[in-house]
Amino acid sequence: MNQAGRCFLLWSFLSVSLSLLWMAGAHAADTAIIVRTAPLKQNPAFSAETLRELPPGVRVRLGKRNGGWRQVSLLPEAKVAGWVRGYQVRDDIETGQSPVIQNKTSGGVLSGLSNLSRRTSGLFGRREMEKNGNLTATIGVRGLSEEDLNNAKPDPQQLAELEQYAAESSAAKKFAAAGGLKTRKIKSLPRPKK
Amino acid sequence: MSSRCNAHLFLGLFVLSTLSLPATAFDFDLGKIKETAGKLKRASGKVSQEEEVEIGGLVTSNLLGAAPLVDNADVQRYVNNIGLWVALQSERPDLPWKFGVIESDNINAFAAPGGYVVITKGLFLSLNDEAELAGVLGHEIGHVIGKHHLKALQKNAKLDLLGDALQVAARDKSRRDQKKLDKLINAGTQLYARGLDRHDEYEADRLGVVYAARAGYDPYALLNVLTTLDSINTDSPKIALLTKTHPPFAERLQRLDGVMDKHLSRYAGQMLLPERLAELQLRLIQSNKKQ
Repeated sequence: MNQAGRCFLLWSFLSVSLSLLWMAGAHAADTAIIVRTAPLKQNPAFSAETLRELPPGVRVRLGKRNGGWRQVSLLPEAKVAGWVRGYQVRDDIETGQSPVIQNKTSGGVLSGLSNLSRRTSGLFGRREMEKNGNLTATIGVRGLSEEDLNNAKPDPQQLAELEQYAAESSAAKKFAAAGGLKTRKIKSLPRPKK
Repeated sequence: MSSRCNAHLFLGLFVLSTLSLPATAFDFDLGKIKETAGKLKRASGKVSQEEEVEIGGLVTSNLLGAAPLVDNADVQRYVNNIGLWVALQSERPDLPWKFGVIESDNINAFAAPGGYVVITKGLFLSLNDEAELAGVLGHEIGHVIGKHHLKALQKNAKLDLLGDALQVAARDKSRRDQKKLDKLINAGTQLYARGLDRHDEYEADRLGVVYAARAGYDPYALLNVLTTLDSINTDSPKIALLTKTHPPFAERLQRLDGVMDKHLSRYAGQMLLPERLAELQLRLIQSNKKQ
């Protein structure tokens, strides 16, 4: 096969894999789980009427975003709809194994990329990360414990390498523009009252 | 001895040392350090940017001794581009900002004086989009802007040591007192094991979300990160250090949410850029497999 052919094959493979990833993400993004007790508000405002209190574990369908608010409708019928704070709800990773904060249980096995919601948990799901935690010794990846920190010895070569990767501000601006990022003028947040 | 045993032992020692004089927590031999008027002035006064950067570099060098950079230039450049872009929105855009991803499956991120920020591979791979990365880096940039580590060092070392060690920035490097310098570096690194004041963490959160929002990202992404972290089993060794050295995620979420709702909610629809991050995460995983 000539080089162009190989190139084409590689790109096809990559684009198919990527679209599979996207589909997995899009599918999982539909449903979500309440992860901490959330008052379901009629409108996206703290002053709005509370329709009911949603306990952790309730499955919902995600709707629009509005500031820090997220529209949800209660599954399975999706008849009751309202608004919760964005951090009170999490995209569902695996049906039937809710990532409820209160339970703090680990477990669950991710069998492959198709099972993974990238939007929810990065390329490594949370459970995948926890699972891999036990593997660190076998694959020779170092952890970073208090002991490691307290016994650390300087590594000037590594520092030099770090410095070598420093970006020029022109490059950073260009990269930001390529992603469609634009600066906004925003005031600092006020210090909270004590 | 099991690692859990070690952790308990360390915790015990830690509690003991914090109960005694703060100086002993850092193992400083204060008695032997003579306080001169010049040093005191130095210590209580301002640290120049040059000195700040030098201290940060030394502490970071130590941190990299515990966990080196991941061997992937694309990933390092990416994090530097994003990090600098966010840092340019801060009060000190002209610091020589440097960012890195380090070889550790633990979930954590670190800042050092003068503009050094590193994030673990474990945290990098757990993020969902570039906005979350910007939020995490923004938080660390917030520590640098707030001079949290520098102030903690100054406070705990009673400044004698810092005053002395600050001669590191002197042109004449032969004048350096290596012993004192080493103590300063160790004190700096031990801050990562001890943690900062929780109010420094809240401040870094407040600063970080603003920098991310100014940079064009959805500032609520940091809340997503905190929500993810909060759902990780607290027994997991990967997150043990982070949870020990930071206030509870739920508390941080509540505080951030309260203040952001009034001032930042209109920026919640800004960019997330999941694809750019995912591409680099893939590359990092692939380069790991090769090794």
